[in-house]
Amino acid sequence: MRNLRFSFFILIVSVFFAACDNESGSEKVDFDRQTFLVNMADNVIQPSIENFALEAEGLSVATNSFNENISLESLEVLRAELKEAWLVYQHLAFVQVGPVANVNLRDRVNIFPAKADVIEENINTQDYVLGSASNVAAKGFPALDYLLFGTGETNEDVVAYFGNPDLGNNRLQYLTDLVEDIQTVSNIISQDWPDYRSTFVGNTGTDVGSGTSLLVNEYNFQFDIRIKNAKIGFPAGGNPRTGGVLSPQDVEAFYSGWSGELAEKAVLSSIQVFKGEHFNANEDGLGLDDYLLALNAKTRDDQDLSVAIINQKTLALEEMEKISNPYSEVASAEGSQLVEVYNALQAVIPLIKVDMTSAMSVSITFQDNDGD
Amino acid sequence: MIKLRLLGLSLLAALAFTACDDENTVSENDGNYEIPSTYDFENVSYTGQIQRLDMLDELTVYMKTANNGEVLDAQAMLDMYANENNAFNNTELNEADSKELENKTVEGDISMFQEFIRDFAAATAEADGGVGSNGTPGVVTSNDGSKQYFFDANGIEHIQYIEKGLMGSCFYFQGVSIYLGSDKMDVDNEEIEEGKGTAMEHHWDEAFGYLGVATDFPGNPDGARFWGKYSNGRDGLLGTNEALMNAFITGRAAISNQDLETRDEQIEIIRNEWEKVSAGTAVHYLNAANQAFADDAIRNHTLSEAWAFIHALKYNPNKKLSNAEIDGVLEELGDNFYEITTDNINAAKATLVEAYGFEDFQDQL
Repeated sequence: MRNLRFSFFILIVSVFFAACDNESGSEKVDFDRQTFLVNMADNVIQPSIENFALEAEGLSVATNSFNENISLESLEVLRAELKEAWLVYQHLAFVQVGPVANVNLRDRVNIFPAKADVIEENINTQDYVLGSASNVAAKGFPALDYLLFGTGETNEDVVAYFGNPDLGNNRLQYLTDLVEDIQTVSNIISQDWPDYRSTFVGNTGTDVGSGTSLLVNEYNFQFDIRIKNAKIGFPAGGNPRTGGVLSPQDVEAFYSGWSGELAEKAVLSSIQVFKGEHFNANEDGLGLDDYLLALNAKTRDDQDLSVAIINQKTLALEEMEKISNPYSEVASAEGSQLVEVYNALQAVIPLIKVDMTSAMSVSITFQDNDGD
Repeated sequence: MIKLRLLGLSLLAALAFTACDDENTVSENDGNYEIPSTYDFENVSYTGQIQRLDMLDELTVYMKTANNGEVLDAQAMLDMYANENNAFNNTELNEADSKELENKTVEGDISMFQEFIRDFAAATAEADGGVGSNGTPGVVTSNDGSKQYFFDANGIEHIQYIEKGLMGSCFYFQGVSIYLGSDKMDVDNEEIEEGKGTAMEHHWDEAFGYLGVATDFPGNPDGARFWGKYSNGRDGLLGTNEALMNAFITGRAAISNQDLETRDEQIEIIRNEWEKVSAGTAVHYLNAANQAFADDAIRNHTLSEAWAFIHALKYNPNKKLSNAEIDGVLEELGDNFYEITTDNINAAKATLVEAYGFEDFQDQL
């Protein structure tokens, strides 16, 4: 009898723990995190990586053609390839884990605004190390945006920029180096992914360093800092941090004017990644949305959290679709439509950064606590 | 035996529920937690804010020596602004390396303040203790002989632009835009750090720190400085003391009880009330400038005050006027206070009165 009581006690205690120790990832929830991570790894991340490598290859081929024959036609092809690669990047940027994080993809290929003066100086001196910190804004997609769009008023001017008898070769070399850098990055990521995959899907907890924690953190960072703030809130003065000061020249893809398309692709990607949708296929795998449903996570006003997140993002996307002009034009007026977009994106943040992380017992590790 | 098992099972079930049904806990607390009458909570810390208020205090004390004809050192002021080179008499401030006014200023305004500082020092050097007038920097005495202020050649009192300007571009901006904004409010509210509370609690406390009042304000008005002092100054008409204090206290209690809806309501209240302090104080000084229109010292001084409190209005996410409109009001004041007209002052005042609904007591402010 005594033994029996004692074992009940143990049982009670262990149930208590099992039910509540989220840290160890053993809460009583009907959700298979392993299957979730496998879906994210094999159907979301890996094909995204492969696609990015493919587009980088296409960009490289087009650059070679442009090198061999500088013409309006080869410029058009090159520009189109740049756009494709940049669009695909918007998806991969959401899953900066493992080898994608090791190369620091976002900082390596998409720091904007580009610094045209640094780019020109590098071209003139021919003395540069692309990997150095001083060149983060002189490479990647934004630098290519400058080279292929910002170096002349007309397409002919841009062609003439590269055909210049004095500096043309330097400029072509810089262009080639930038594209090669992107291709190198994409190759490293593709090569290293298979090795990392097992680590990623094997760490099924939710503590810092686990696959789920990394995904949720990177997802938040990309959405909050790189989309909401960098693409929209800072240029348009919507983010309170700006004090309402406008900086339309700081939008992504300033020279080509692709800012809107890239930002829409980014928000669309955020929905796809959230749902665990298979890359480029209409199949809905196990994603963060399913996890939240399994946790029965609710918003503050008692709606399904996963539904609320998708709805709010869709709303933001609809606000973005209303804008047809380049963001640099829109952002040059106070209280523009971009502020509406910012507010719609902002409304997602408490849902994904507080409610979602709290439901999943994941700690946000990137928040700036410079306060005090 | 079977009974015992059953008992055990039901016990388990009960435990599992009480332990994990977060939703229950939240609704139990919802509107049903204690809200103290003062800002008296566990794990509160905002020393960084107090230090920054101290820094501005010390900078202001130094700047005010110009009113006695002293020539100021630009580098000494820039060092205080950036907390470099052991600029402060209070060594505790020098040691607080990471705390500075400069890196908490609206980024777009930092160079403006540095320029104010340099211009100010240059004007004092040019005046070299002399008397000021339109076109000449120097000390100007009020008609009754009771006050004296240093103005540049255009009648601008840099002390106000810098001190009150930083109240806006640093304290107010940090308080209403940054610490009550998403970056600081959409954060962890589970993990309690001893002495500091959760990240969310801590950020809330830091916003409160920038108000510059005692934890038992307004019952205890002692020690109210900067915004606290100006809230107190117009409180009879605006009622901001209680409103701000209640909102800060309620919001903090709400955060500790996971009631974020109430927190958000308090954020709105704080932003609106704090904005009222700035707008009301600006109108107050415009009234004072009108009253003392023929007194160069008082008029220029109060207009310089007004300029800074109007400029601050930019830094509230809920601002009633756009930045372009605020710039429009500042343009009314112009760039030479010796040459301003009553019409200019009244036009600036009218815009503020309308935007903030001060019609009923606009002349009493």
